[in-house]
Amino acid sequence: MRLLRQRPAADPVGDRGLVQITGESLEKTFVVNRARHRAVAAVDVTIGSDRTIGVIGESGSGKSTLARMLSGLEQPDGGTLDYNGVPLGHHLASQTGRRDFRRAVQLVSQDVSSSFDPLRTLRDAVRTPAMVLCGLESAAADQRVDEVLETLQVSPAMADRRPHEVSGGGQRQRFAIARALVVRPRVLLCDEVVSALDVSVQGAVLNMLKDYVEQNRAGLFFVSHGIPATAFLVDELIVMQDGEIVERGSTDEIVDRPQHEYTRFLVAAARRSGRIEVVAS
Amino acid sequence: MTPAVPTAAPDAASLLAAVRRQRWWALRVLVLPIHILVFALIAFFLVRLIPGDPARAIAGPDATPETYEAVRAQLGLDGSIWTQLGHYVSGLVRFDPGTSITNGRPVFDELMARLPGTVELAVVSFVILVLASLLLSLVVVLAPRSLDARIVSGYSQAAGAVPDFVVGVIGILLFYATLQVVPAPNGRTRPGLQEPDPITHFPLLDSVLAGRFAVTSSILSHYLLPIVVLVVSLAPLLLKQLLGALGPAAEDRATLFRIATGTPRRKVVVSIYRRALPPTIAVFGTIFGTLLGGTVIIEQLFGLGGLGTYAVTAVAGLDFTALQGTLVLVAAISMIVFLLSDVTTMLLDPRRRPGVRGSGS
Amino acid sequence: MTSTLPPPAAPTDTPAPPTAARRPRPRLGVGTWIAAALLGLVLLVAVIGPLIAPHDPTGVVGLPSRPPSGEHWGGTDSTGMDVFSRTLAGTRIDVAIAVFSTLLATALGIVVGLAVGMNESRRGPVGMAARGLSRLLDLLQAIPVVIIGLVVVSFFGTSTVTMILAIAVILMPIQARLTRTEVLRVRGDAYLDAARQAGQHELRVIVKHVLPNSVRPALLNVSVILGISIVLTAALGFLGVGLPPPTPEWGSMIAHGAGDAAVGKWWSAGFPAAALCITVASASVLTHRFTVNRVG
Repeated sequence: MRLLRQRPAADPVGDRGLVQITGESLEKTFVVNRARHRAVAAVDVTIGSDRTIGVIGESGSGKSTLARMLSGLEQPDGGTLDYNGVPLGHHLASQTGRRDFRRAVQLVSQDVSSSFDPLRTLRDAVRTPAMVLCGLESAAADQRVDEVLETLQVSPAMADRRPHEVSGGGQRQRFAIARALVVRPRVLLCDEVVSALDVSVQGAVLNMLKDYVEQNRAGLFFVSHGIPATAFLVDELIVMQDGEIVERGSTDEIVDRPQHEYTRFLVAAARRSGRIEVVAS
Repeated sequence: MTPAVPTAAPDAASLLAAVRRQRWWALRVLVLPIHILVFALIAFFLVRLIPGDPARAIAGPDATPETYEAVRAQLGLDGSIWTQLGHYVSGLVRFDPGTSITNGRPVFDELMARLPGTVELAVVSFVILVLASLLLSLVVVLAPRSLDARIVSGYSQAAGAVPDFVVGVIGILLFYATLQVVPAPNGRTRPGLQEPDPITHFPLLDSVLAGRFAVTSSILSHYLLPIVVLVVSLAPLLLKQLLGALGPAAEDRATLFRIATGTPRRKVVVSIYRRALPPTIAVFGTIFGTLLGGTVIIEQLFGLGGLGTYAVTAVAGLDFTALQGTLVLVAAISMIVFLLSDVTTMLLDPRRRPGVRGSGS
Repeated sequence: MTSTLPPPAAPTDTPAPPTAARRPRPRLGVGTWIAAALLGLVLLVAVIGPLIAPHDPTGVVGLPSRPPSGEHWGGTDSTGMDVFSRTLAGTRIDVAIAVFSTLLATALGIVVGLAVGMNESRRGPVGMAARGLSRLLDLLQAIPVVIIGLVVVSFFGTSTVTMILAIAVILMPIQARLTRTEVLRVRGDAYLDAARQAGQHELRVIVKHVLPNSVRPALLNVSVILGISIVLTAALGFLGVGLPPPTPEWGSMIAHGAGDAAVGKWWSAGFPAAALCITVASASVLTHRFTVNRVG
């Protein structure tokens, strides 16, 4: 295990070419209390390092499941899922393929109490992907962790604590983002990353994500139930309802001229809150 | 007059709905035979794995191959293991576990001759065990800080520390060998006393039904020490559970409310028990299982010759069929008691029914 | 064991997760110290018992059924073997069977519990096998251990090693069920997905994250299993299906001595019974002391 990791410490800048995940007619069904619940139905979507896409919809619309499928954590029940033209299943089957994919594509989830192993330090959690995926040695990985934490405005000393010793979801969520960014992914998937945070912290986190995407020319797939935050970050929007995509288009188009009834409802709600003009400009 | 009520028999739909509402226990009852059958299959293969060849043992080391084969056929051990399994399962469904390998008698008859004695002892002990635990727990509930209460809780902590057979030996030494207050630990009745012809096969019940009260009193005096031993060694298990449930129930807000509103003390105590009972009854299955295991040992110690003696003899004689039969029977009894205690718990506390997500359960 | 536990939590304004909850360690009373001392003595005797036994524990060394005397501290049994020496020598056998079967049962139980818990809700044959195994663990719980013991011991045969195997197999389901419950709790936790995203193999995720977060109940239960195991060993010996005589084993000594007890000769069953009770009771006192305020 140790030997495998001792690749060049300098972390070779991997293939900076286009990274693309294509899903066609994706399906996912869950069985809850013997009742079948269709979470995602016939969804076609392509994400990549050249696009920033936002997904909006109410809870239960299947947007989180979609993000989990695209990140390879959940297997679709139907449809095809390709990574750079090769079925994702093939990639995940081998160790090299899995690491190659994970290094390029990372998912950050909503902060929940179980986001970090209660028995391990936060540093351990952030360092592991750097060591396993980038082949960094322990010291180099630590250095990388400190760098990432600094850009996220977190004191590196905090990393030596355990999750329950860190107060506030905002701090933990920054560590969760650090855990994804430490491998410098080409595509970042975010699932409700700011929903549980105070409004004051939300802005800071969103700015950090925007900075990362712009500076590294990375792709973004941002799942949220709020239009303002999403519109601030992405060029394209997808609107989901009951597991299906009901509308898609450029952010400006959708915010200015929503077609679908449900989209209109969402946009109107956001407008009433008075925040949409500010961010969608 | 109330409006006319349709007097027709309940239609199929409402019957189905009724069944669906009762699904939480109906389903458990329906799968019970399947569970027992699954266990029977395990017993079958487990017993087949026991090293040793009973046919060889019976035929003798010098037997000719013909004799050996004849013995095998006679024992039902010829043919493939699947043929044997087929015979076994089809027999079980007809409640016929086959005939004993060692003495050729039907295992069912042998088990039925011994089971009632064991069950009688276990059930009587269980009832006394429950009553004794309830009484002892009352001491703790009524006066939690008294010396008596502390002795009772100390005793409940002794759960499992003194094994039943050790209590049994101490009992024999004390009450038979030293004080001579109980009869000799070798049998169910005074030697020479003719037991009545079996009616129900439960020895105690039969003697009453036959009107032979001399036998009844003799059996009772012989049962006294074994029952005391079982109760004394197993009561801590139940008591521990009961006290564990009574503690929170006594400090419950509902209890404080009753006390604050001047409810009579007796009613407060009843309400505390009412709330502590479901979690206690939930462990009845485990405790009865332990008690059944203890009975098997205690019967051996007191020469009562029940199921345990039969199983031990079967192990020694490599009696496949007898061993299988005993295992399946004990498993069936244990699972039925488990089911009963589960269903009772769910009756008392609907939050425990499957599919119900209540708070605080 | 302590190495898997986090250090005491620093005061924070967020509630700590249940795994890290700690109440102040209870003060150790006299009873605890006595129990610890007794258990230490039992373990010491288990190691050096046969060396300090004054007589051959498996041979006839005197007249049968003599009461305790200066020559035979524990008297002799009905065949003329020295009860005290046999009790000392039996410590090694009973304690060894209990300790090793407990360790084995716990190790097996944790592995089975992890395997069942992680695969139970999967589709396909693996999931079905896991669900079947899970139901089986529940079923086995209903059957008295002594009855299963009778059969399993006769299957494994009777030597110290096979007794250890047999008892481990019988007690494994208890530990497996405890672990399974914890695994089901931990299985959906988000840090497991994070570990998978870090490119780690599923097996490594289980060993590094699921295992440490789900072993606690099984580890706390070790001393309970130890008690059950030692009583079960003796019970099987008592029923005559355990180790064959003249092996000095407490249970068979008690069974053998029960006949003497019935005629008032207490010592041949008394010494092994006292040894058995001291061992189980001191283990149980320590368990109670160290777990009652932790899990609840």
